Amino acid sequence: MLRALKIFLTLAIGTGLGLAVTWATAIRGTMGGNVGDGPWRTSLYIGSKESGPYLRALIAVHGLLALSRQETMYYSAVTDSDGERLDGHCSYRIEGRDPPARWWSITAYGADDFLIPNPADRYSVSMNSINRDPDGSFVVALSKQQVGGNWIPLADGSYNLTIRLYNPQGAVVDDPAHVALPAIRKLSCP
Amino acid sequence: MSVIARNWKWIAATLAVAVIVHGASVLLLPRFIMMRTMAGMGRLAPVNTVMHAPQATASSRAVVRPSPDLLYSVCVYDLGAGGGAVRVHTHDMPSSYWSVSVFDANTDNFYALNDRQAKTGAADFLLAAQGTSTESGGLPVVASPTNRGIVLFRTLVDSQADLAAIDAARHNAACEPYKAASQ
Repeated sequence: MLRALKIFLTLAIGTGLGLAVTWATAIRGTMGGNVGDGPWRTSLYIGSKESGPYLRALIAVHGLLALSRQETMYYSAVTDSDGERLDGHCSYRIEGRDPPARWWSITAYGADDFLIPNPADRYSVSMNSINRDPDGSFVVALSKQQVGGNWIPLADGSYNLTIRLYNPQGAVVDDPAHVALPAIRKLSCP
Repeated sequence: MSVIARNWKWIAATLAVAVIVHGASVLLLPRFIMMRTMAGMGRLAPVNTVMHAPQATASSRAVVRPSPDLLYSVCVYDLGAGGGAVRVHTHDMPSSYWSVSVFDANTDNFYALNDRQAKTGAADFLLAAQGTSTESGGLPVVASPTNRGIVLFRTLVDSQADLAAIDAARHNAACEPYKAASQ
């Protein structure tokens, strides 16, 4: 009887422990990677056969059907440029210039990896939709309260951002840690 | 004798079970998620046919992290049900960015073709199982590592004013069993 109990506990605890480690290493978090560029993270192996089992599992959970680097590079951020976690209660501004790609967009996602519901049905800014200053730079507001110009609405809770670089220039793939990507500045919190 | 010393074999066995479960779950998770996604898509359209999803909004829940700036057209392919090969083709696509990409059952993107590579606004190729010979009738053959997977057309909506025209053009995308065409 005691032996049966020990076998049961071995299997139950071992299974629970194994799944907990899987959750911590391959499920928790969001689409990212091992390459950092300011607050943005990426990997050259997203969507690729060369990706290891952990990255493949992470992308399956948080970025299923992502393209490989020849077609698109994905950079994601869960913090602002000061390293503080992005929080939908706060207001931010994204400041930068066009990243080096044929086409790009910046999209906000909720912690569930889906677009953030908002009355304006706005979820992103892109190369085509963004308003630029005369010098080519742009500023995008991230906030719950509607503002004019470039604006991505937020909702309460944590969120994250993804920059998609479609047909990125060669320098992006050659040196993904030193791409001129926009900064994310926190403006205020209630 | 301490509790740990008395039960060291059980503790070692527990850790061994944990390692095995962890390794297996990490390896199987992509296949499981892909299988679940293909099953969900299969409820909306048969295999080896293209389904055109509406522009993504916050209520789009079929696949994580959709881009609201793209239109997605998807085909769950099954080479077995396709008689060994599936033909993927489109024509007269919009002049802005579009691409067709293929993902195997383990989530890997093993093929992609974009508008600049296609040049003519058209694409036409066969998907066939790796290691098989297919009479392709001159069409390029793309070897699929698995019998099932997903073909995904992405079409950029560069202007909401052009949405209707872009949406109409992407409906030229097709995915179909090749068996009938080769006979």
